[in-house]
Amino acid sequence: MTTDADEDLEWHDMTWHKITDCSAYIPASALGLQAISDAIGGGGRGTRSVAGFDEDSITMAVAALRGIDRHSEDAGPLLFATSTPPYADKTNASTVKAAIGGDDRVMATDVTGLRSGLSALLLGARTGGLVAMADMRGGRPGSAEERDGGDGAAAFRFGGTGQPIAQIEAAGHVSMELMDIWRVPGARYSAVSEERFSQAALSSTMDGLVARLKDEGGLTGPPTFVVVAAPGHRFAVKLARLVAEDSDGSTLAAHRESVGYCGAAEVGILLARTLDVAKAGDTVLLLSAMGGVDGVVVRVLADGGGSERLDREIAGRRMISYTDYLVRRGLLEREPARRPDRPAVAAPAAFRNVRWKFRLEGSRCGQCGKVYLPPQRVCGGCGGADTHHPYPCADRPGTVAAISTDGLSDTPAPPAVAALVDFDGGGRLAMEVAESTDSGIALGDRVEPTFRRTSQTDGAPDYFWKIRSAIGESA
Amino acid sequence: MSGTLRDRVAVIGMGCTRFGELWDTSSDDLLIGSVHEAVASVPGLELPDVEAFWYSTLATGHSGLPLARALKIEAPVTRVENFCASGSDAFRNAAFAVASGVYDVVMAVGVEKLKDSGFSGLALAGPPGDNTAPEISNPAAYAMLPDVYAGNYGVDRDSIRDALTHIAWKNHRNGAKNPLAQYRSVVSKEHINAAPKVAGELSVFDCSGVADGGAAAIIVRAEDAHRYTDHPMFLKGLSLHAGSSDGAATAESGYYSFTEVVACADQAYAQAGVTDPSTQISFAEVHDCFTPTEMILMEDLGFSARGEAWKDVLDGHFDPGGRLPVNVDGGLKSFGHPVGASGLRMMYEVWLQFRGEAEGRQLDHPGLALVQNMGGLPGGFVSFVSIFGPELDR
Ligand SMILES: [Zn+2]
Repeated sequence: MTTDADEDLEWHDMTWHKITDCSAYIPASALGLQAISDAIGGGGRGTRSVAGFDEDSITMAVAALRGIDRHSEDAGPLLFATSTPPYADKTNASTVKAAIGGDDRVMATDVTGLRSGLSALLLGARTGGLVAMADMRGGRPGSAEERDGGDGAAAFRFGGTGQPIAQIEAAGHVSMELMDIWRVPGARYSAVSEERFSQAALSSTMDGLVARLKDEGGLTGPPTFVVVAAPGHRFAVKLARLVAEDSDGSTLAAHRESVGYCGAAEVGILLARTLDVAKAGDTVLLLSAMGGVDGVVVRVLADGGGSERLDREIAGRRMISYTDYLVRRGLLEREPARRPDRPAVAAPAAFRNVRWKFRLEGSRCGQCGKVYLPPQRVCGGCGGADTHHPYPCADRPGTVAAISTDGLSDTPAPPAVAALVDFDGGGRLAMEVAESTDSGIALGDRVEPTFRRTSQTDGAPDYFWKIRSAIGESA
Repeated sequence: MSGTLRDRVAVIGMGCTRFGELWDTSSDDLLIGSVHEAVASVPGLELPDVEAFWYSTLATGHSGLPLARALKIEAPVTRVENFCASGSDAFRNAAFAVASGVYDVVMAVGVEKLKDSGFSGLALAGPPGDNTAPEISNPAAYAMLPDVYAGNYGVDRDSIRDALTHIAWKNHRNGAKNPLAQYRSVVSKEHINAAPKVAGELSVFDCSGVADGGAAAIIVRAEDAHRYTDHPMFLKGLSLHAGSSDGAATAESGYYSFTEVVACADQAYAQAGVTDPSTQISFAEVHDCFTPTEMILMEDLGFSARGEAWKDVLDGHFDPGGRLPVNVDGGLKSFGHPVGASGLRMMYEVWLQFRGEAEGRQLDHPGLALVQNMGGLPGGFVSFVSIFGPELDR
């Protein structure tokens, strides 16, 4: 897809699937940048989002995908974009796909690197199907990457059933062999070159690209909205003004002040948040400026649902200390609890039980209706053998029947919290509470499952479902 | 089930080591100590007279070989593991063996060496799995009980807390009088209430710790018992239940009662002819792994009416001078919990009480005694109940 700079506009008469749903996911905790200044210097004003200690790019992608309307009859690939894949070699998208369910006779594949979100978006518009992007950005304590970074995810559905909400009208790219930001495999931090150099190179190239989008990409007037994905906060905002001074850049500004640059997920989060507030007929100029420049013109086809849900979630985030942030990122090692290590997951057992482990699918008796989590072959309700059918619970809320803090189990955020959950419609399960500390969950509260990391053995992540407050019901 | 072991089986000798952090004692030492003491308690009996062994341990060795190796015997040795009820199940199988007539003299011996691991709790490695079991410590699982109990019976949380504190206070005070106990300090209620919480409302004083220890019992048919001792301990009833764990899977069964305990207590009472346990049972050793467990057991065993145990606890009904003393030896709270040995340790207290050898904590005229021992987590237990008497009924 990389072409010379001259002939790179792709036109709306080519086959683009329309966007039929989208969602942004911002984690439930945040770090005030002043806390960085106070601790080590290099912070600033505003906040950045921080993934829970039990979240990563896979779980955030699942959370974003769970925020969109998924139809089991819709086929199409699942594209997963991230610069922080929990697995190398193994396909991360397979884990995401297992957790969201649906027909598995599709391609699920990863695209990596900071620009991969934009690539996945455009590829998804070509193929139809689902696009998820998630990332966790940070850097050395006190660095600009840490301060300007954020954690988050976005998901899009292209084509399929449902009303189209937006469509890509044109896209243009300039591939640049530019050493502006890079990270070799295994390295903990990104390396960046002198930013005045890279920003100058990117700005001037972006000028040309936007001019051509205006000349040849159908942008007759100024776009309604402009958003720019770029690691540096000030550069992104400045570039948006420079190339589209008459467009609304407030979504970009708000995102950068409260969430931060979410790497591969940045374009998706910015587009999803813009579509929330856009009206039918608006245009969005979506730009990416790092390692090359990319521009996408998006035509809005339906009024957005409003930004209230995400605004409320962002406003309600729990502010964590810088120490907590460092512990979550593995930059500060806490003395572990004196407990035996959790065992590594057994691949055959996980494979046999994939619908339980990744979909929280229990069983329900066809004879007496009794529900079991995990699924059982023999029914304790009626004594039937093999009378049980699959009973999905991942999207089912429940009520806390018993709860306790747990100061003994090992967790990066002690104390852990354990709860006994009675699912609506039957089924009881003892579960860990996501993010544990200060979850605010009490006896009798309504809760819902959330896909999380459970443990790490020899660096390999492991996943299962935990619970969190039933956000879906309060909205 | 038509058969019963009532008055068919007797204990004629017992041994029990000190429980605790026994850094200078190996698992072999615990085996040899408890077995040799049990044999020595029976005049004229030698170890080779014991024809078969049931050896209970959760994690201190596998197979019957550790016992045979340590004691230098060659005999039938069966290793028994049934969670925290392992010691009781070793006793149960040994009792069936003599009742069958195949053996005349057998032994149940339980040993656990846990402190060397450096961990404070129990952690069992299961078979390789899908890792979907939640990481919930045992104290956290049991800490869920008081809330549910309080909600179910409409009892205020402070009253429950007072009852749990009383149980911890009582069992520590009882254990202070027992030279074999791990903890031998009287602890004030103020001190218990001020302790930092480890899980939910539970502090270390609400939790039994683990320990190293061993205990052994020599078992014969009841009709042979008086050939060995003037004061045998006669088995009146015995029941073991492994629950379906439906309580952990469905909302119907609550966290305020242990269905397995109710079921096997009913069975043991029926065998022993007990119709009103609250008046017919003289004293009891129960599985006080956590203070809420002991409180709930008072109801499940029929010692208190439903929803009233907390009140009976506070009224001192289960204190040494109360109507039905519970855990007069100090319980798991004072002993700690060497898993394979605990069930036999509970029987050891009954043995001493019947013989008038429970110095400093001896009860007056001890009659029918109940031993309740269990393993697992709320929602799914292995539960054991046995009833002993100092005399044959006929
Ligand atoms: Zn059934």
